[in-house]
Amino acid sequence: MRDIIKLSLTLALVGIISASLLTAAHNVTDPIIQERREADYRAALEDFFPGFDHFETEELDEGQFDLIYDEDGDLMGIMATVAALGYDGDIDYNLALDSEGEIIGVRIIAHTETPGIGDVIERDSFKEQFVGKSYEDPITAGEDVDIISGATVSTAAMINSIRQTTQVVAENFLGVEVVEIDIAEVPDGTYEGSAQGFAGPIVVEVEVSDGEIVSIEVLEQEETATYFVESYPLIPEQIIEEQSLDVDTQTGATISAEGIVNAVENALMEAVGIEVETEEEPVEEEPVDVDLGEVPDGTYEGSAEGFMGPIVVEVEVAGGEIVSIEILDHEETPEYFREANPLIPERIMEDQHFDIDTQTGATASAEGILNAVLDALSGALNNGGGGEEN
Amino acid sequence: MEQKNIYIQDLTRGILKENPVFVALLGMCPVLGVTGFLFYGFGMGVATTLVMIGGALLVSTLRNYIPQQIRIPCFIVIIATFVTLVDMSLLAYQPALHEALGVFVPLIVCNCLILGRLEAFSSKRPVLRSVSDGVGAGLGFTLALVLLALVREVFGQGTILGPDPESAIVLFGANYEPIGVFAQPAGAFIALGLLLAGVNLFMKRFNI
Repeated sequence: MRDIIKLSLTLALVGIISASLLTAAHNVTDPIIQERREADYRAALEDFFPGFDHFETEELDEGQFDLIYDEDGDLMGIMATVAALGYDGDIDYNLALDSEGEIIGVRIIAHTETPGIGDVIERDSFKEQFVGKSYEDPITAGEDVDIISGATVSTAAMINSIRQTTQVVAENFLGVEVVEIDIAEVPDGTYEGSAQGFAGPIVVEVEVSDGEIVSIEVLEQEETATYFVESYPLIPEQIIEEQSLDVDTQTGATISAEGIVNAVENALMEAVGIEVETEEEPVEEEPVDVDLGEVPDGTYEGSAEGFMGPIVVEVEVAGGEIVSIEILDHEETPEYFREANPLIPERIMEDQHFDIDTQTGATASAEGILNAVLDALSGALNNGGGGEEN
Repeated sequence: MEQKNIYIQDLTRGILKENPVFVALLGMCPVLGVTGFLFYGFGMGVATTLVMIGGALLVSTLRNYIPQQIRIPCFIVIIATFVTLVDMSLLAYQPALHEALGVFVPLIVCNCLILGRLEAFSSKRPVLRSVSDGVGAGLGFTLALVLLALVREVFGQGTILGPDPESAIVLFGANYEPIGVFAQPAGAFIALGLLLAGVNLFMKRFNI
């Protein structure tokens, strides 16, 4: 017993010595560190708002917002200091917006994301995609900004946080009224709405009764099945439970989850008579059924959109059969593209028709290859068989 | 005379004969992790040396008061204290180095070199000898990091004293294509292996 007390006291003593040393050191170094942070922040301000004169600080629940003024006292823009909940703790960052609410730049202050994985959020190519966007833009993964594969959580967290911050700034400092749906005002009925998911549009049917959402059903979707189960039925359940569209979409399938939320929102907006800006979606080309027997022998080039960019293929036809498919050019992520190539060309050549299964680990790339092949062959037919014959 | 020699012996032993990296192969994590540039390797070596000296000083001072049963937790707290001190000072005075070394600074806490020397030497010897030993082990560690970083920077980057463009000296002219593997962690292993071979050869030749 006496031993334990002695040991504990010794350990406590060592702890006290340690703590006093650290406190002393903290008192010396902290002002210097703060001063340096301040200087860094000022430099960043100068970077985003050249020639600014002074700023006023407003504290909101969401973070700190500095209103930047020029010499004449005109508002130049707003610098937000906020935090996004990343994969491993807070990602502290600055978001610079001009007086119209357009993003000037993103500056990561500090984060603890996994080195080599989550730290892609520091890449310029990731940060620059937000420049010029505003609260009027969707700022949604898969629509106007991209998440980075392999670091989905970190990048999606940044995207969501930036979207929310643009809206907070617009509402609080730019006098923009953001349309919000009051579910209680939605008349009883069943409404349909759609929004872009990961692989295609998601169509939902929302039933409202007594000012409450009572059911949400997904009518149509083209999402990858293994991912979609992560957000459906989870997301509809959350919406119904909370009677709010402000649910956590950070699931294993964030983009699908956001698609569902947006589709529900669109359905309700239509219900209360708010014009829904439907995005100009690239018209899905109807799968052209090419009769291979009609394609003259030759080598044809075609291209179609993959996941990251166009995929260019060269198709060789001999004796009414596709004998080779070669990918000439693509911009897909190599790790994923491997799942689609050479699997898809092999399937096409094996079956000699185009109704093949494109559900691979890289569905978008697989469909891109298929469409590129179709493009090459329909080009061959439309040119009266005159394609680029060798 | 005899007394004086002991301190010198304690000091020099760690630098070459019992070099923590080349002979004892201790503390490999920072050795491989932060030796991409000479500046980083040197900074890490100095940081570790400071912790080593502070730890040796405090542990040998308190050695008669720290009970045997809880010596390891006490040592760790002492090491962690000095690591945090170094971390704070770097953040305040050398922010660029602090950012480059990143997580490896807090990780000095679990560098087995430090705990090893404190447990094996400082906890049983008087203060002055312990500090000599700490300085020696720290210098030996720094020497190893500097050598490895030199090899890696020269071949992996083609520069010396980078990455700050103001101080960097480009060695081989614009046409030199850096050997990328040396800049990678895998290249650290290769470079370390070559260095170990070289050092062993050297020591055998001169009977150290």
